Amino acid sequence: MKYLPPLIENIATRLFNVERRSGNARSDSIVLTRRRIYILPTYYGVLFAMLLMLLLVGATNYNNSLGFVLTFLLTSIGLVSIIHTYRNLLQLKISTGKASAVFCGSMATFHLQLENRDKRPRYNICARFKETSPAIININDEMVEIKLTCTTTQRGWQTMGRITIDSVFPLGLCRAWSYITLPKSCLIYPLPAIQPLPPIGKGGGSGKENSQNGGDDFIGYRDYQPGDSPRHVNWKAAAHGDKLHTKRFGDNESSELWFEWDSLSALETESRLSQLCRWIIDAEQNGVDYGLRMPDITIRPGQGDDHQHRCLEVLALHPSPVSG
Amino acid sequence: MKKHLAHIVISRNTTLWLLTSLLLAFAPHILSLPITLSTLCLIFGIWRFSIERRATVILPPRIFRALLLCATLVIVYLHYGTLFGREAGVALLACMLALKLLEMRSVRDYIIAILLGYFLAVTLVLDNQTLLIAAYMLIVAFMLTATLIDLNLPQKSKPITINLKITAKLFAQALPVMLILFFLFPRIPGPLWSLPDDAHSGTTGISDEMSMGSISNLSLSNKVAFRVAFEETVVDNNLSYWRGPVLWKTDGKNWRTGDSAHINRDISYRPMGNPINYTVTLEPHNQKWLYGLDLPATAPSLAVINRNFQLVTKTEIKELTRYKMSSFSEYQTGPLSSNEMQRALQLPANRNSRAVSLGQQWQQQLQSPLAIVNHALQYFNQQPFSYTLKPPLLGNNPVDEFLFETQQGFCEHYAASFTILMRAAGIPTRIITGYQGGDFNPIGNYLIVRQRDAHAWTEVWLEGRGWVRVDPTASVAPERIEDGAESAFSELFDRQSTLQFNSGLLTKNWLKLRYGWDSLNNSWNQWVIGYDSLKQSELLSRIGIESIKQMAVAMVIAVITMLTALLLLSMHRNRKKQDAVSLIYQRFCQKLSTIGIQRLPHEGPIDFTQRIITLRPDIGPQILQINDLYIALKYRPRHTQQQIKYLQQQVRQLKL
Repeated sequence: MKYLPPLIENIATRLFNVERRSGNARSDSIVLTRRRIYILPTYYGVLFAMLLMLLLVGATNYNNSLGFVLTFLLTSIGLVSIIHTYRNLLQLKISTGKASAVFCGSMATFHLQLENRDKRPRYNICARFKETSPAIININDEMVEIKLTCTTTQRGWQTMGRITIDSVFPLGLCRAWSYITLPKSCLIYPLPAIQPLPPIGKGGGSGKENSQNGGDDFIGYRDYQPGDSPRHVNWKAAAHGDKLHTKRFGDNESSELWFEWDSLSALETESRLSQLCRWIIDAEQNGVDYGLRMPDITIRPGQGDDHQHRCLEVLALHPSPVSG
Repeated sequence: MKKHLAHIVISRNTTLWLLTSLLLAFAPHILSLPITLSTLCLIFGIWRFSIERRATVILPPRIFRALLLCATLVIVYLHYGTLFGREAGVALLACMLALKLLEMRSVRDYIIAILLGYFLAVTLVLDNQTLLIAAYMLIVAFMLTATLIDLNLPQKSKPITINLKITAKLFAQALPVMLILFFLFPRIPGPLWSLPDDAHSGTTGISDEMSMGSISNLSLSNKVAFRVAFEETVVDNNLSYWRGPVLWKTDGKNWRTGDSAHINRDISYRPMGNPINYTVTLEPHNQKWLYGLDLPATAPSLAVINRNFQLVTKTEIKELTRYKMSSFSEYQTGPLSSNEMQRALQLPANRNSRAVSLGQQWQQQLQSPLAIVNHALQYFNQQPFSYTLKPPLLGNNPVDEFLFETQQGFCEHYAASFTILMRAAGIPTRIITGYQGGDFNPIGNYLIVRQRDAHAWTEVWLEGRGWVRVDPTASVAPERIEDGAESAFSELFDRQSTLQFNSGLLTKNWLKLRYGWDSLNNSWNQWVIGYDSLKQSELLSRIGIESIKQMAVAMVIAVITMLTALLLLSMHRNRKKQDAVSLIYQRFCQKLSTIGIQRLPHEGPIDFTQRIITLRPDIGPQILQINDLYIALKYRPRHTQQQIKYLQQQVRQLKL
């Protein structure tokens, strides 16, 4: 590198140290400052430079002043466009938004806010993970949200990978880019197993716990939840203007299910988690209260999105068996 | 690095921008290319246009395009006899570009088409470097750049003319950098290698041959031959003879320089009076001589004065050339060598016998050569000769026919006939061609000499006085000499310009406008077209830049300074000024963060308020009020200063 011209050397040094400079792990937003932005000519920039050389030789050869005028005009436009490209990224603020949990194998979506703090609109900003297709946007007003998706292969927390933000605007002759890593993770639930929850009543591997009451005995009311059978709604009370309540019976769909880690001892860890995951989804869909009993944690039966999320989170974060 | 553009979907609009700008670049070539090629190129363009109008873009098959390529190559070869050289090169470039239209698919194709378009734009200025063509070239470059920008804009980012706005900005910012490069980039005197034969074509002017009618052909042309800036006073019109080729040899119909080998270094004449100093800016005329006022005293470095007192150069003048001169309008030349005497009396045998016998008759009747000359001039003046731009065609004995039959002629008729008469009377005579007169441009303070000022006159050699200028045209049409060609043919020139002004004021303004325009053209020639390595070093040495190395350093420093200034300026200007309302809200958020309630980046004010209220129900009412005020001020267009004050007060009073 000693023999490179200083400019190239500078660029090369920056390139090779990209990882070290590429992220600020603490804050959940990054401003693209001048130290974060790299810029190099594109293939078309090199082609353009060759055109300029040809024009220059032609103009000199024919001693044609207007030839020089055009050559120098294009040269200047090329030079000014470098500034435009660079400025297109400069001071752009990127912050993380939400990243909803997904099941392993489906695409994880990270939301990013790009904030333009300048008056000038930014055109053709392109953001992408390493291998996925980019999101291309113009930022005219203050803030734009983009979604970047990436594949998921493993349950647990998946951190948002390195994002490349780049732009070739306006002329495509040079490309400014920046690598950013932001401390955002997306929870990946286990991959649901194929085997569904056995018909309720027959008792799956989970075991069914009929608390105190059996049969069709009415055991009380609870708040109505979407999915409850209309036959079990206490319509009389509802007619008086009360909230909707569902009658609970000892031995019907609204009975509590317990999904237990220990009941699946025949399977290896990941398959167990997958199976539990599947049952939880099915139980939630069927409107059954369900509880989860893991070796180190027990979640009391319940229903609803939050409950499901809590259960699935436990599964997602279940420690992997230490191999070897 | 190509992959970075791979995701760009090329929109129809981009293709339309490209087709429009290429059509603009091509338009001036339509007439100069062979008709088959122009038609072919236009057909390809229209073809692409119609493809683009269909729902799906289906390009003609590859084999078909290959056939078209071969066909165009053959046509170019058949027409020009080569595929190289300037004219064939331009034709080839246009055809390749038109063919490219039929295969454009990827971003790469589009960019190559745009780059070739820039090349086509520069071919516009190969022969013609006027102000208008320069403006046109810039328009073409502008459109091509706009196309390039459109290609780099995401499809949905319309208004569709946003690219024009960005291009205008880019051009405006590029202009100062361009000027730096133009003036400071070290110019190497060209050419770097020998140019093709057809490199400079289409130049007009006086040649070193004359026949009856050759100068009157020029006289309809308003093209500028050269411009002259005098250091002291402008020379009078009747002394304003601009000396070009000197013609000796004739076959009775055509006149030639004859032996040009007689370049003799020891030319001498006795100057009388004061020298006239001036600078000439000569338009390229593709001949090996310069023009100087009769008689040139000093030669510029690129020329020598030959024995005919003509300024001759080693090579053809193919570019705008500027040179300093001094001349003497009064002079006395020395004796004639026997060879010159012989050449100055040469008469073709068996031609124009009536004219020759008239001359011989005068020699016998009159005593002195001076008397003969005066008699001849009287002859032209008294006989019904007329001065016309459209003389009748003459046959094999043109001088006889002119003198005794038609009697209508232009300057070359008078000069040629006069010379034949004088030689027959034994007086050594030669013809001088060049320009006479010119328009004085009061705005730019210089003289414009145009092709229509082309003139032919004679010199007779008189014992004791040497060569004496005699202009027989002056005896027929003195106004031609006094007031210039324009007034002699004013009727004709008026008709030509199709503008007839009755009002003197209008004419005056029109003249002023014309002088202004020419003055602009003159500055253009001096500063843009004529800016070459010589002028560059002359100009830059005045500000202390002497060597090419210094030029390069100065250029790099100036360009970098300019670009840095541009960057800093635009960054400074573009930072958004935060409005008062946002600032107050920011303070509000800061205040809340002290108690651990942080506003999340994706959280709108309403969500944030709700979260605060759930966390701190005790300050709910104040928070709600601040929220409502903030939203009202921020998102409703009309609000008063008082409301802002109130919001500020609320935030200040918020107790946590």
